[in-house]
Amino acid sequence: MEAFLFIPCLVEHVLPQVGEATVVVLEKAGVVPVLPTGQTCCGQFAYKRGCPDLVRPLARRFIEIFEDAPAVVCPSGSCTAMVRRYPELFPQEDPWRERAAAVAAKTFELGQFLVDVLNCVDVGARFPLRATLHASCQTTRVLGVGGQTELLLSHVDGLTLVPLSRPERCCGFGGAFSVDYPEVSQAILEDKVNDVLQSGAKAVITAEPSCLLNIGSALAKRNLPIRPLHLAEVLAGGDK
Amino acid sequence: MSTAPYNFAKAAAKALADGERRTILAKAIAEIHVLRRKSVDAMPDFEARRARAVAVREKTLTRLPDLLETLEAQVTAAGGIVHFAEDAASAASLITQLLTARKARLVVKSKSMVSEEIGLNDVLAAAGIEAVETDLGEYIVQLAGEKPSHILAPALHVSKEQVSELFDRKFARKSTDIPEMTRIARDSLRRKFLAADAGITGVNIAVAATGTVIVLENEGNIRLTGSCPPIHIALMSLEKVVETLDDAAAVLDILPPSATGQTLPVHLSLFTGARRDGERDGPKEMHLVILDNGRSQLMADPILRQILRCIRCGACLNVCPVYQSVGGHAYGTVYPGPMGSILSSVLTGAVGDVRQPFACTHCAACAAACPVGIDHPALLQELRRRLSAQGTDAATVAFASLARHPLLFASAAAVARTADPKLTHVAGLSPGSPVGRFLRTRAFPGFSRPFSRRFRALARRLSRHGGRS
Amino acid sequence: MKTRVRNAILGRLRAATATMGLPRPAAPLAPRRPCRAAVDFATFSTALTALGPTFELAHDPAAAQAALAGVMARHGVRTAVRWNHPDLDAMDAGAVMAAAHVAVIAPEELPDRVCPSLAAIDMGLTGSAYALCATGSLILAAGQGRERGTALVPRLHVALVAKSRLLPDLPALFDRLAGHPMPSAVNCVTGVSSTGDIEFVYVRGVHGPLAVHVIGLDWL
Repeated sequence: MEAFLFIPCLVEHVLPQVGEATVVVLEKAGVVPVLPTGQTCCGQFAYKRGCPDLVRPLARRFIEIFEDAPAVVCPSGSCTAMVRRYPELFPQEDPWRERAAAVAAKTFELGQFLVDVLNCVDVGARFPLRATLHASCQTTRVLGVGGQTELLLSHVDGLTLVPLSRPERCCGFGGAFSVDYPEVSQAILEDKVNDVLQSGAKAVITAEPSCLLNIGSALAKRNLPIRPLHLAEVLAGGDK
Repeated sequence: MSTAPYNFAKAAAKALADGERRTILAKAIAEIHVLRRKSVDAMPDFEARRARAVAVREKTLTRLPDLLETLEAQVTAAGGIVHFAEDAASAASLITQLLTARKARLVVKSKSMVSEEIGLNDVLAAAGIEAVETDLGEYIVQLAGEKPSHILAPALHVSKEQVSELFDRKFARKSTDIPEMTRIARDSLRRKFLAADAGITGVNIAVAATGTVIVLENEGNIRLTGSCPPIHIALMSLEKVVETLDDAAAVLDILPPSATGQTLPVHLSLFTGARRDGERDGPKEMHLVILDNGRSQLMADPILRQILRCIRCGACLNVCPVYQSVGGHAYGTVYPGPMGSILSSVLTGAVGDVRQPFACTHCAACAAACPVGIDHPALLQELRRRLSAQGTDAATVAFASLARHPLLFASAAAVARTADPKLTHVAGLSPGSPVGRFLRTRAFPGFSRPFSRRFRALARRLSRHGGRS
Repeated sequence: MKTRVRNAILGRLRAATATMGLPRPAAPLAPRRPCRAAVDFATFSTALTALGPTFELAHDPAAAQAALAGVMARHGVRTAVRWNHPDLDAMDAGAVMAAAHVAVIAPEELPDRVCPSLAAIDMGLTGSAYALCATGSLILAAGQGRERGTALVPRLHVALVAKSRLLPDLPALFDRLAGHPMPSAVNCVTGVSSTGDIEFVYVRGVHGPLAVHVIGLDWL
């Protein structure tokens, strides 16, 4: 089957390896990834700023780009959650509302797509590594698909997952929050990095690109030899 | 008096710079989490209990005026007197006048957020009435001349050394042994309970059908406050009512575990009216003060009124990463944390940062923990929408415009990639700016050659190697 | 003025709720799980003693009398205040206290301000309305001859619990209370007054009695 790739702007411009890994994983699962052109941003930053009016034109573009897709797959829980909110941006009588609902219903976070849509829990991945899982807020609580991430990782050959203290605790990014309240963001992030350090893991895995950026860039700043990895990178099978 | 608007970002930064306070707060939060793991996290039927509590609280909101009238009638039938108060000032003045008319000079008080909300202690003091906080944490905070920092553990921020110093100053009794310090407080407060002319308590839940106010505690000070003095004044906000004892049981199934990890608190007291004929103790007069202060107006708001389900368990505070990091004082308002960020925005005359709803990472830990199913993220989102309707920042507008034009969007990224790929220039130019501070602790990986440019080659490479399609 | 404020508040609430409609639960509500705790002294006392109070089971009046004499001796009780309650009479508590030369205040003898008069009293002796087995809770209902201060002010509270008064849990208590006039006070006491307000160090014995002793009356 074919699936359209919904690539978050963060992945497109800052973490392209997450997109590449997503393509590899889908191919392993027998899916032909299609990349429609013209994607920009899902608009969640504007939504969370309290400006749904600014999101509406972006939602319409998204719908037009993706509504013919058999399925839409996204390596981000937060962006998927934003698309699932698109219907409520439009009033009841507006035809865009139904079109938004149709697209939202077939837009999936990567882990959810593999497990719930393809019934695939094992993509034949091998990644020998001692890692810990940061259960991103958007993936676990907002979308409710954290279990799928764990299930997929449990089938990765050679991967040892060590427990993380308070795995479900926020990493402190929160989009604009990290810029508007930098000290608080930093304090929460510091706790997360310390938890990762204490776990004894050589890598920290997350299914959310913004968490990956946040935690990864803090690890890098502190020169800590802990590898930040996206779920897709682990499922793509490791070093080449 | 400063007229500068309250700034949470500044207050938070200041709180975070206080290393000692941060350590104490972290320890307290860790303790609370041990308790949560043993109780609500381990509860096999949490969702079922929550569903029942939600149904009870929704029934309350739907039938609120009827329930308040029934409550009034039942309290009155039991010999109590019910007073409705429009706002903070009139509630505080009503209570003060009631006490002054009865020549009450010494009053004992127990934990009540509503009494903080109406600024009662200041009004009582101005009338020459001594009002003693009897909850140990509140007592400590009162002696220290401070404000409580947490709904349930008001002295969370105070170390035992600080308490010891305080007791030495106030009672000339020195000890850093915590049980001994507790005994010092017990002796001091006991004298007040037994001599007080009146006792003022809050209300956890009021039961309309029986005219009963229910209060929960571990220390016993609420029980003493409501039992020993000849006058009992119970102060509640108008949404704290349920219809029947069975409804109260549904709330009590989930409130103590969510608050303190207990099945039941040490003291759960049901007070109904004044002492009956032939009884020798208990209050001769029992007054129930029901406070509005913007809540009846809030009831007309179909989205935000959901916050009135709140039963003040404190769970949302305990799981909020922002609250955990900065503590309660930084909010500058009576109600901190997620529920406070919503409630304070809608109560009459509440202070704090008007932009508090933006100080949130959208992690939804609050909604997951809330025993009455309040969707804090959705309510905060609505508050942000209303605030932004008055105007939003240029950066957001600019980014949103750019995102409507894929070629422009890609060009802008290309420019960034060429001119300042790691944003070191931006960080260097204005290190004190928000972006500058963001980058102080993060090594930005840099703008990359976009994924879309790599895709075609990647797809070709994969299909050449056979893939699985 | 008072009525005007009241009516204005209720009026606003009526206007707001007029369009709300009846609440509908989103999903069918599961009934509360039936309480698994067995209703017997073994269950009750296990829960009770885990929290600080002490317990003794008396199979007959003589055993109850010995239990009462014992706890008074252990705590050095010289003065006491008691309730008027059939369970005290059933074990002839008065006689036990008299034999131990304990000065007892009966409810009829209490002055106008009850609580201050009990400040120096060693023991408060009460019956109980009910007791909850799941949580080890004592249920004390105020009434004529059953003062609130008796179980609250003296440093030792001794409570008699007859077997017939055992209930499973709080919902069962509320079921019993519903449909009858409420007493002026019902106290559900689970453990000994405690606080963790200083640095979360848990201390037992804040306000309220420092010690609680329960005597189970197995024959009642």
